[in-house]
Parts: sequence; C-alpha cells; structure tokens
Amino acid sequence: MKKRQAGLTLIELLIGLVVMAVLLSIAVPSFQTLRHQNTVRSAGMAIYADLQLARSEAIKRNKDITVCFTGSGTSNWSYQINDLVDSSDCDGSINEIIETSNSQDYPAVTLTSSYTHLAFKPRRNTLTSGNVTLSNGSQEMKVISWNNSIIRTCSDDELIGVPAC
Amino acid sequence: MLKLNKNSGFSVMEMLVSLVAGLVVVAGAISLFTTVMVSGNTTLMLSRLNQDVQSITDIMVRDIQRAGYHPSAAQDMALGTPASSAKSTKYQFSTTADLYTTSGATAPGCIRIKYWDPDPPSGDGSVIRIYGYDATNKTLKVSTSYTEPGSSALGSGDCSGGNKLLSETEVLIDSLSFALASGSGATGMRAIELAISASHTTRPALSMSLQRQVKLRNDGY
Repeated sequence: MKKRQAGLTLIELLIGLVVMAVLLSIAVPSFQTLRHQNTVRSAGMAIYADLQLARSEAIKRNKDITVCFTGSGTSNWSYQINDLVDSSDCDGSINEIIETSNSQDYPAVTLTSSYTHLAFKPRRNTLTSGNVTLSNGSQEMKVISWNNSIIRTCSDDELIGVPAC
Repeated sequence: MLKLNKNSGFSVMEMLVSLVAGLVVVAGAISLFTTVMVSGNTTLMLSRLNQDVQSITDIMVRDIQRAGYHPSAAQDMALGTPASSAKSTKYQFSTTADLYTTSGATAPGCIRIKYWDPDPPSGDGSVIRIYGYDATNKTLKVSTSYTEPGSSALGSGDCSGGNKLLSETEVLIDSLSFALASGSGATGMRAIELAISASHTTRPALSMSLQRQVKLRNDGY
C-alpha cells in the first residue's frame, strides 16, 4: 500500500450520507402516515366485520345479539359480542360470549361509540342509528349503523378503500 | 494482488454499479409492497361488495318467499276457489298488479309483497312491502306499510319511495329485475327470477351479478 488510495474520500462519503439522510427524511414521514392510516383502517375494518358478525348471528339464531362497549373515548377500550339474557342489560347474565376484542390489539387507537350497547335483532329496521369512531389523533374512521340495518364505514382522511363521509 | 496496490478503495465505477444493483433491489421491494397493498385493497372492496349484494338479495328472497301468507288461507281454500271477500285473497301475489315495469325497461324493476305477520312491529298484522329499483340513482329502495292491502296496481309513485337498502357511496346497483319465471301463469305455481348486478362506486370495474329463482310458496295451487 505505498501508493495513494484512489477510492472514496471521507468528504465524498459524507456527501453521500447527507444525500441519503435527506431522502430518508422525506420518505420516512410519509411512510409513517401510511402506517398510521393503516392501523386506523384495520381497526375500523375489524369492528365493521364484528358488527356484521353480530348482525348475521342475530339473524341465524333468531335472537337478540348485543355488542357491549366499555371504555368508550379512552385508549383502553373493549367490546364484547354477547348473547344476553336481557338484550339491553350488558351487566346482566350472559348466555354466551361470541366474540371479544380490546384495545391491546390496536395500540394508540381510541374508540368512541355513540352507544354503550348496540342490540342486533333478527327483525329488520330495528338497529339503533349511531356510529363508532376510531381515531389515532390525526386519522379517523367511522363505522356507522343505520336504522334500516345497514352498517357502513366512512372516513374523511382518505384512507385507502374507505369512502368519504 | 498486484493490481490492488493501485486502487485499494472503491472506484467510482464500482460504486455506481453497486448503487444501481442496490436500487434495483429496493425498487423490486417497493413494487412488491405496493402490489400487495393494492391487491389487498381490491380484495377488501370486492368482499365488501359481495357481502352487501348477497345480504340484500337474501333479504329480498326471504321476503318474496313470504308473499301471500295468511293464516286462514288454507281454511278459505278448503271449499274450492275462495270467495273474493275472503281476507286471505287480498294477500295473494298478483302477476299483473304486484309487478311494475318502468317504461323502457324490459323486465319489472319493482315488486310488491303482501303477507300476514302474526307478530307485527306495528298495526294489526298486515305487511305490505315494496322493493323499487331507482335506475337514475342506481339505488334500491324499500317501503313498508302495515295496513290492509287494497287491490290497486303498483304505480311508479309506489316504487320510488322508502328507505335505501344500500349506501350509494359504496355500492351502485347497475340493474335489478324481478321477472316472472318462464312457465309461470297468472295462477298456479309461480316463481320470480331475481337478477341483480352491482358495482363498486369508486371502482366500477369491480362488479358482480347474482341470479336467484324464488318460488312463491303461498300460491293457491
């Protein structure tokens, strides 16, 4: 190694690193937004699917099925799809628990529901109108129930595949 | 080993080649990622469309199967053709009065179903339900009344009222018909051929069609 090295100099390497850093600093935040959008979206889709499950269980069993929400508006929420003895009493005795879900599966997502319990009846046009909002602070997604038994999702934050509210 | 004495670091050429190789790998990874995201989204939209269309079709099929039910129908029929004053005849499905074809359409897009419900949400038990397809807005509407059925035929006014069965921000119904199955007469055994095709509002390329043949189970045969 007597000759002078003809490879990269420290300056060149540093310039390369700086360029990489600039590019990454542009790419990472948009990637983070995508990640946040996807956490809210997947939570919303999971709740949509669970409400549909409750609806079809109610029709299948010809029985009232109640979704009980707890911790609405906090980051420590949970809900349970129940076959209750009294379909409007979430604290009463339970015939069968069909499904449970809680915030541990969806970190940093807050669930706010306009009802403490949502009863699905086998008869149509009996669903309570309202909505469940999932939010991580910047993105929001709503799961809406209509009284004509439709459940739908919407979002104003341009989540992929979710229609605008 | 002799040549190494000249250049022992990277040369510009080597660096460019490695950069290009790196970029090719990164581009491959990114395109794979986006493909997975896009196809996941397509699957989601398609399954949503499928579920929505299947569920409203089920609702309509179950309703059409109930058409004509009245608890005293068998009693009224026992002595032959029931008298026109018999209550159960009011609920019988009529191929002329209970199907309505919009002018210009080839098949009926509106159907009326009348049946007796022993446990009605309101009223004394009569249920009249009208499903109407709105071709302009590509929606399906249903209206319900709990009064005793009359004998008047369906009109366009009857078919345009009621609540939407689907949210038009997600699903548009491209066509819907309640045609009478071939071979069905005005009396006797009859069946309704229900054909529906729908597409996703934001992605019209995603579409599906369903066909069901529904036998009217409470016919007077």
